[in-house]
Amino acid sequence: MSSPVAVRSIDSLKDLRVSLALFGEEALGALGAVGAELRRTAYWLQQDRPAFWQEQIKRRREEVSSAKAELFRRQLAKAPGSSLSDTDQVEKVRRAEANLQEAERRLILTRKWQVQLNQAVLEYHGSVRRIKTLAASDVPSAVNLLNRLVDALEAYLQETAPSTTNVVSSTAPAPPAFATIATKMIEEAPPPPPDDATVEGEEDLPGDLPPEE
Amino acid sequence: MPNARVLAGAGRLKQAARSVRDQWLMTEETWTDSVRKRFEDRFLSPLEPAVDAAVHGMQALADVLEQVRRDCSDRSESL
Repeated sequence: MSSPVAVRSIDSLKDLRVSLALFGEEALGALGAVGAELRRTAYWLQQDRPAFWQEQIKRRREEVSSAKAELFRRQLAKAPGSSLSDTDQVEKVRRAEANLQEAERRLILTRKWQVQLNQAVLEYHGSVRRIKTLAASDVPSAVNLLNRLVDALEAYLQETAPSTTNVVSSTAPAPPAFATIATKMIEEAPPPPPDDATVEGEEDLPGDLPPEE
Repeated sequence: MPNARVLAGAGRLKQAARSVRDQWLMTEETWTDSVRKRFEDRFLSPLEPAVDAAVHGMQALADVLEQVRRDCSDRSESL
């Protein structure tokens, strides 16, 4: 037997349907945008940075050699007791060596992050797994259910009260299709997945992903 | 400063969830039968904790991505 129906505004159900549909689109759009940014950074870290810092180390080693050679020539040019200063050359060597050490440190950091970013990505995927499933599956089911409920209510109104629009009161006989459809669809909708369920593609790690244009 | 694009995604998700919640508050005033409660339990109640978890994850990711950029960039490069 159908339950009493108490819907005072079909338009409100329609608005909810629109709102849920937009939510689904926005949620998936936001997840896509974050995923694209993640892939950009991962590609930069895995592909661009190692080559960049290795090249920097090579170039800075050459600068250290050059600065040392310049200092050596300066020291050779100094006669004993001469007032000729090599302060600038010493400073240049110091700066070049500091620059080299900085590049070596950055390369080490790059390699450290290549490992740690994978862990951060796994944690991120874990945090969005549920909303991804809800937005991709449950929200469309809810929108579909609302579609059918609205159709059932509108058909009922057309049959029973052509002059009345948009209102099905609790005192009216229950539209037979309404509760039947609602109950059936809610019961048939698969339950939300457990939190550790895997969503296709989310196990990809940054190193496996192509750059996003 | 955390990664702006990721934070924008978190903001977008929060705003979308807020819109659904606001709309639901209006809808539930006009839909008061038992189906409404079952609909809410099945489809709407799971959204908020899922959105909260995702937003939290995005904020954490934004911090990590910013740290990666800062640690692995040259001082002369614009981030």
